[in-house]
Amino acid sequence: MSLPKQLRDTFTPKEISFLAEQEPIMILPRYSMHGTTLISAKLPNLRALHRESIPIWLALILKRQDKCNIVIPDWLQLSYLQQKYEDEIQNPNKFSKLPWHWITISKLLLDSAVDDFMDPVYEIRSLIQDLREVRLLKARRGLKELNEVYLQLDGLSLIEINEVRPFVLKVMNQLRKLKESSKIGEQEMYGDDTEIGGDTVMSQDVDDDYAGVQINDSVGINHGSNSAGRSGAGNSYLNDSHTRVQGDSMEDDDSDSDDDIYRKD
Amino acid sequence: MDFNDILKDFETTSRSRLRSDDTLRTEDLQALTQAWIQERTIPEVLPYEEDLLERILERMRKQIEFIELNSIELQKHEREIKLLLVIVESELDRVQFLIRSYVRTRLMKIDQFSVYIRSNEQELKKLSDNETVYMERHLDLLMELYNRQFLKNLPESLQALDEGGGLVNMVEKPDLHKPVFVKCGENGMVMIEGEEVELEKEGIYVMRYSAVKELVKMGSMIVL
Repeated sequence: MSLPKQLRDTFTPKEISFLAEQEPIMILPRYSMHGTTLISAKLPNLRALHRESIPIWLALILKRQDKCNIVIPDWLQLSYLQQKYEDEIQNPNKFSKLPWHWITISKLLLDSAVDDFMDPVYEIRSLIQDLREVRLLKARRGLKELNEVYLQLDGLSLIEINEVRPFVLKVMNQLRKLKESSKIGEQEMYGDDTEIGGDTVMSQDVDDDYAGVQINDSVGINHGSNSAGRSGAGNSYLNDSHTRVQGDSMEDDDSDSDDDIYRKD
Repeated sequence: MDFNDILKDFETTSRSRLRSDDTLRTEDLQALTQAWIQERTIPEVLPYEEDLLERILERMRKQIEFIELNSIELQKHEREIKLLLVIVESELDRVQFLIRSYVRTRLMKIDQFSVYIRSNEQELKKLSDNETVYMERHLDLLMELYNRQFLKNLPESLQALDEGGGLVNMVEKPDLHKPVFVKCGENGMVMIEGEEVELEKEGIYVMRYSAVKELVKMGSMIVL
């Protein structure tokens, strides 16, 4: 096939990384070098110790050859990330504003430019991991607001969107079809069997997709009144959304149900 | 106006022309990236970006020339040109990846919807010449295969491959109601099933493609 099946619903993390590598970053060249014309831009002449902004993929090549130092962006500093982490916890219903490619770029830099960081790298790594987990939990919780009309998810970065994409698209599309068929059903005085069959198939898929997902919840936060066991928290949220999808009227025990990240007016 | 002024004038115009070529290159790559993302996320085939690809392919040819020229003279300049070659080659690889994935995604959709596309003038216009040729030949081969293998053994009334009547249409069409992820460039509003949905600038939404199709086309919204 011209496009492998796993590429049809979403992008792979590698492809997201590819997109992130196009973002500009500041470097500090260690040697002077002549520029050249590239397909996407002109590579300027580099002068030793004069800051220049170039795409990340290029910065990484130069870095590997020891030709430059990368200027670590402000948002990858310990104090900034700590601030964001506190924001995340204080606003349980909102994602704090982080760069569009924050996870991907931080991974690229932590892999290839460790020596350019001013702060201890292990602390940055663990803070990023914490931030990621808090946000992942919020994103999962938001899944139960899924409906067939629309969903708003401000503040998520591209790779975080990419993670929920296959699930969200499938559920929304299926809910839409269910609603359409129930309309037909009302008109014709009987339900559409094939569509209801489709529903069970879908919930099956949902299980499959998330069967391997385990939240390693080392983050010490409280999710409102819901004090479900830590390790199972992510899954219980999922189950919430799962039952919702199936149309069961489950008791909503989450005090944050007026969650405004995913709101439906 | 004395000589210096003329010189200065000349300098600024040539520099601004250089800069505009530079921004055009950057914009072109962004446009290609966005075109790729759109093909991957939107259910229907979009118009082929002929001019854009032509410009980028031309630039790629120049880069290949550059590589060929310089790898012959490698011994002379040594180090610096080596690094430059690495840079040029990696960029070439990156752009090639984008174009390849763009084309393959289109081919996937063309394969899937070829019967529908062939019967629809407007859809046909979205394909490049090469794509049209590909689609016709592919479809011919497929039809011949089906006919030879089993259709000829069926009653004549069951042999059609594009039957539209009855409950289920045999011709597969893109499902325009499939949801897509979008980011709004400006405030706005869309109607979905009689429900007004207000859009905030910079907001990220998931909604059916049919509702946002025009906004995406106008560029006031980008798909993610």
